[in-house]
Amino acid sequence: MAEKKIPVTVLTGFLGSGKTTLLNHILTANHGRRIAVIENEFGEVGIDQELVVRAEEEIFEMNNGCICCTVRGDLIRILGNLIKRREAFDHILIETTGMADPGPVAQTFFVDEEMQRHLSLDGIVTIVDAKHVWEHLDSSEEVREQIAFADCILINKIDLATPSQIEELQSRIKKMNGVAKQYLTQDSVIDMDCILGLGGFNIQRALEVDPKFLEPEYPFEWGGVFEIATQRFSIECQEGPDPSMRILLLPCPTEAASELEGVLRDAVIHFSDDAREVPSGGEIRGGGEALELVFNPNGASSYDVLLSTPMRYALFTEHQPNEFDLVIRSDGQVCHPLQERLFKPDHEHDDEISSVGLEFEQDMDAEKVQLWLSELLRIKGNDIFRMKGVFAIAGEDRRLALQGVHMLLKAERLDSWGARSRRSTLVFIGRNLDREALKAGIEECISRE
Amino acid sequence: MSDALPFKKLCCEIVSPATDFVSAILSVSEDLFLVGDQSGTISAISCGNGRIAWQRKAHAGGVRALELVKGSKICISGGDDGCIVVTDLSSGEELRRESLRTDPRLSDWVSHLRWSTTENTLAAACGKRLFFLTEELRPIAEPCVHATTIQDLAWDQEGRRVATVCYGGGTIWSPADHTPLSTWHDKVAMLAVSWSPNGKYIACGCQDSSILVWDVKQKQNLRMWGYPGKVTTLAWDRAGRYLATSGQGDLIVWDFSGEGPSGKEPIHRGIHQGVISAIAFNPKGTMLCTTADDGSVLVWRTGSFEPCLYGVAGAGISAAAWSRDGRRIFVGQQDGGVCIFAIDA
Repeated sequence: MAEKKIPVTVLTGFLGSGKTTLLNHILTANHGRRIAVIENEFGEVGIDQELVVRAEEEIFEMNNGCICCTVRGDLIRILGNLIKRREAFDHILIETTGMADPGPVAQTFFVDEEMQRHLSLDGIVTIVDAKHVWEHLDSSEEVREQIAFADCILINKIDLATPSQIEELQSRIKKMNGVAKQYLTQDSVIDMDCILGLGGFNIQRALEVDPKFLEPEYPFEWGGVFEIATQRFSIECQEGPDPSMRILLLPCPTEAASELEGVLRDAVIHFSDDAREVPSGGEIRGGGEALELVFNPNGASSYDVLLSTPMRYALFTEHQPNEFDLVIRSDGQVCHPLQERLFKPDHEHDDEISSVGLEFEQDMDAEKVQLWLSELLRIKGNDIFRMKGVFAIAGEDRRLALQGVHMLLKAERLDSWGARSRRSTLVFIGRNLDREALKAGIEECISRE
Repeated sequence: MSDALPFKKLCCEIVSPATDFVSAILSVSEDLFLVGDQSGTISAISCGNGRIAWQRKAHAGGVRALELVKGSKICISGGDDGCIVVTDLSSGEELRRESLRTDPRLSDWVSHLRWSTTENTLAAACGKRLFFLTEELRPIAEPCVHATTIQDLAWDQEGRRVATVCYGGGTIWSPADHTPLSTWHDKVAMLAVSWSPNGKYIACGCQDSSILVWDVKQKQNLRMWGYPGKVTTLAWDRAGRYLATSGQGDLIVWDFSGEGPSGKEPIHRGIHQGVISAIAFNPKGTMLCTTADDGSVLVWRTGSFEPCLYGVAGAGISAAAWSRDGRRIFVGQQDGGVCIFAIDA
């Protein structure tokens, strides 16, 4: 009965993104896997193979207690049939239509017990056209959800887009879905190991994509500590990507081992104050006040800073200083920071779809976590596409994994923590996610034992 | 299955296997039963000694349905390839073949075949279409097109009307006029259907861990929830009193005597460790057999529904059928093996 589950990869992508080309690569590449294919999209030229099943999408609405969800009836039927032929292949690939909503596909693997028992959702692979996806990114909910649900995103046809278009797209996609790995491809050419065998929705991958994924967010991207020996110095900048930038200067207590960390709390509080605008050539007196440096539109800018006492100061900047060639000059000499750090910036909430990662070192109360999550998904499930949490539970040696798609939640006990340090990590991908509210919610679940 | 259970062990004989996962099994006569498997092969096996009488690859892909034309010497099979094949029962020779696929882009398969002796008509489901065909596979009428894929079909006891179930509802058809006689709607995917022997009820197993019973005359739905999983198998006893159903490894029997099952607790038996794959009453209706994907076979007494016999097959069971005389149970396994269990009278 404990037979190995068959991995299933779901391939999504808008019409013309290169999905069929990718499918052909997968079917012809010499990767040693025997792949059964379910095709929902079929052009005139069908792939003729015994293990290719072509069917139309059928959406089933289901009532599961108080939870409503939609699943894919065609997949339940066809996968149920393929399970009976499991000796004939190693992997199943589902090619959805360009307009497919990945939600019902993912939910099928949560709801139907036969699917759960025999299959595992290995990964959702989404392919986008590097140039034309912009035409749909804001208007098509399907395209946005295909990106949001993905474990892996191929930005295809990069030969047709400019490097800056590609860079902008990568950063836009990363804001929507920080968990998915991105690959740049041409003619849908990709190493099969990048898209097959992903092992499901997984927080580790989010950290590979962005090592800072689980860190708290800050209103600034950079902070540095400077030893200022004079009462007067200057901040000098060159032209950069923005016409102005917010900064904050704070005096540092010199004894502290890590000055930057010591003033971080104050920095977060003051950085969000109403900022005073300072034009190029303007004067700044003392620290502790959020300032908006307005840059000279043509050429270099400089700001004079007057201090009451020479000492150590921490400078926090909205963007990274090197984007503006920002330097601090005292007595004609460039001052180098004694200590500096990059911070994970706030989401610029221009995308209603985003991903949130959270990490806690305390043990959790299993019952509270399950209650909180099922309640959260019941209320906000429409807006939460995918979630996964791996929890350290008080009094429990094994890791607890909770995984959700929209309103559905599934719990699973994993292996024991072993040599790993106990911690709870969570990731959400969804619409209008409120990071602070999610954080506050999970903090309520910290074990009091 | 523990040996401590207070009922008798069935005698099991593993006979010449089919070639692949058994998808259909059918009793033909005192002498013969048929096995259809995932390789598309039909095997005719002797009830007595378990020898293969003939074996023939009838379909590309698996066999999905097997049916007899009563009083004749042929069997009809449907497969993953969208074809219906007529085979001579004595020789295994292929007599006729028709494809029901009309849209070459779709891989529709022939999922269900049921013969009505009264109408001399074969009801066949392929994708969203229901066909009425003669023994020669000639269409009697245009196919009846459904909104979604047909999940199961059943003739009424008299063999005059066919009930089909889909996601969203069920329909009763007559082969004479291919317009629906009546329909019922419910936003649920019905997976299996069985018409009660008295013709009053149509019982449907549902995806959402429930059953739906359609009262044909009153045109009313009865829903029973609370199953441990989707309901894919159900069967009525010959008298039409008991409806046996399953969800996961549990057998749940509803008593339709008197006022019907409303407000009555069903009989609930959870002995199988695996998921129940087949439910069948013996021809007399005195016993019920259930088989599961862990290889277990149980025989229950109709009425008390206490288990009286048990057995274990060589592998997970995917299909089962009683012999015509009710003295044997033929079981098909997921690994292609076939077992014959003998019931001592």
